[in-house]
Amino acid sequence: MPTNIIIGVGGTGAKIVESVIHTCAAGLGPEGLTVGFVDQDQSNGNVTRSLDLLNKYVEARRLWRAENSSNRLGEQTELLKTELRSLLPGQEVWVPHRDQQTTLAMVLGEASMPQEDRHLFDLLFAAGEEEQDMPLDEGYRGRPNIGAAAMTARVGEDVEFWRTLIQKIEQAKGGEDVRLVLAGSVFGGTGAAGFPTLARLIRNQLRERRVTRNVKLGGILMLPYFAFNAPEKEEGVQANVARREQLLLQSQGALKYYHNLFKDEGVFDELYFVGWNRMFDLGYHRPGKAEQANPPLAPELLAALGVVTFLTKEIEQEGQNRVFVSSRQQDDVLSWSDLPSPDPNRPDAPFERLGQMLRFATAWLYWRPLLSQRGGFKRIFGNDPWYRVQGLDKVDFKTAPPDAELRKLTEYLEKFLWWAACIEHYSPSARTRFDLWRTTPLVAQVTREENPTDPYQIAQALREEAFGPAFDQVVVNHAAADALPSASELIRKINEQAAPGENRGLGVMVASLHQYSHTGRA
Amino acid sequence: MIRSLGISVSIAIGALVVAAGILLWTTREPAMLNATVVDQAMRAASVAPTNGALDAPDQSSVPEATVRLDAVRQDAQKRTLLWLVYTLTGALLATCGWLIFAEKRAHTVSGVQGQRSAGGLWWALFIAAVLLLAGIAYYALRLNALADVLSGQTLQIAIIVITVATVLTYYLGTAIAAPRVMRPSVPLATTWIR
Repeated sequence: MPTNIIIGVGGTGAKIVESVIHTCAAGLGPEGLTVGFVDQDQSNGNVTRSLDLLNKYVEARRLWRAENSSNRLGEQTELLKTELRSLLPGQEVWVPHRDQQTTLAMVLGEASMPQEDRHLFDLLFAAGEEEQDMPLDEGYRGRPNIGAAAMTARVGEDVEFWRTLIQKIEQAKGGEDVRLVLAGSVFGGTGAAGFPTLARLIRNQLRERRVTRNVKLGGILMLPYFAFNAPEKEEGVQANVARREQLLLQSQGALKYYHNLFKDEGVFDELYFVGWNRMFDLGYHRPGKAEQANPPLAPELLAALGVVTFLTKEIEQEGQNRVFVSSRQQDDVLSWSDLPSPDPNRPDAPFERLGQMLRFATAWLYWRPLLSQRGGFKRIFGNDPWYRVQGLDKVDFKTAPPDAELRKLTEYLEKFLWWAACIEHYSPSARTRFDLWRTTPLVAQVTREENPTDPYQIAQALREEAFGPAFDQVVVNHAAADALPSASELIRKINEQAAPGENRGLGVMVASLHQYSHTGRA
Repeated sequence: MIRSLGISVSIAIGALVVAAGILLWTTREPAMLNATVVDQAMRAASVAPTNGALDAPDQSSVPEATVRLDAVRQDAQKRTLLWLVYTLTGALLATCGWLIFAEKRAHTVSGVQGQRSAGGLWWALFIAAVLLLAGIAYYALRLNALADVLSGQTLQIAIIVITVATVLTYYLGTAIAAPRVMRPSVPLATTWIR
């Protein structure tokens, strides 16, 4: 199995990782993927959320995919197919400067600098809290020049995160195919600073270690695609944040830099740029820390598909230096045909897999409460055709109830639906008609005004009368597709046969639910 | 739909054949007739004028009585079979009505409660079939005076056979021919159909 690695750099990088995890859960990803994060803002809400999602995915997959599990999904089922693992379990996030109140001046040792170096330092970085003495524990606050300098100083040291990463990449020496993707943004702080810095450092490491073959380095770069409200009353450090009007200028400068990096140094084999013609208006501002947990947005889905494309496609030659740019058929609409497919033989793979996953997650809201029931459940439904066809009469609900399996899968799917709901409901803020899915019937509560970082509460369960319409309408049909199979088609199939494959225990029912939630093309 | 209706018609025909066979077997002898009817037939045969003799039974009156009894038996047998046919036709109509409903319902059902949603109509049609059975029985036995012709034992057998055939036509027809999704609507059907 080839080694695939993704490093989310900064908050936006973490959000791309979040979307990558969901595309992997839907069956679009590679067989295996190692995940790591880099963020100076150690409690950044985006990173925390993605890390939490990674843990939920890993837990759910461990329970449903383990060889010895009594409730197991077989290989033929695409659900949770990608084996995700942490680059460094327990230290998934590399924080360049962990100490509280660390500043750039401290990192670069300003106090002990020779006079000439100090002059240069003063020339490059504004004095005081604006740059030189700005506390770094909430990230680089939209100032990549600070991040680049601080990060470069730290990477040279013996850091376990980097040692592990380089060790993994060095497996290429043994002939193993290794693909590494860095995901970040050209705007903001950590991402903009870390992305090119880390890419160059990794490429240099590879050259130093003579790892020149079988390694492909890819990059996913987000151009400015969302904007906050600028803080009105905050002063000093709190006002020192990425502002909407600065983003485009910053990005322009960054792109010139990337152009040189790409042309002259050949750092990346492939570089993907994703942007949006109109910015998503988040309507609030969070400077950093846990509050900086911005809702998932549609461009991150495109970026995630770029990631899995890079990780799964055939790349014939080394150092091709290819650049890909996201685009859509209409600038005010996002539809299935706008999503790039990781599989060149199946251009509709995103529609098929993500559509199936959405329909499965919707079905789960109805079926999970049924499967969670105890004695009464068997008494009422024990003789139903679906109960026996799906082998539930063989599941030991009494002495070894699959509570953990059900809970972990439910937790993951709730995250998935939340992600889908955010992407859908924030699209109008970029004046984009969203024609991929409709999650409104699955949302129990909208808390966007009170809590913009957690704007939607997903329903815990669906009643039968709500389930049918929700299932039938959750996926907006692909323009070129036949009518989607309905919820009645799903229950008919559930009553008739189990999904093929080496599924075991409750895995039979779950695999069937997933398979029969297909969009008609699977 | 056509498959379901075909199955239910086949089951009804099967029930008809078996029940009719039992009834034909039961009513094959004049002994199936009520003793009063036999007595009347014998008496009628004995008083019939033969060669001018009026008071002494003639040997020729015995075949006459047999002929009369057989005619009465055949008439009673025919009416019993018609009773069966009418009742089974009613049961078949109820079965088909339920199956049409269930087939349509199957295309809109999305959950496990929906699978049971044709249960109410099933019971309603079952009761209708039973009422029809009772009505036809009343007509056959009382208005058509079949109760006066058949012996007590034959009557019992006929009632049991026709009732069982009717119930089985409806129950088996709905249970076996029902779309799999709607089978939980038929009481106990899922316990014996795997």
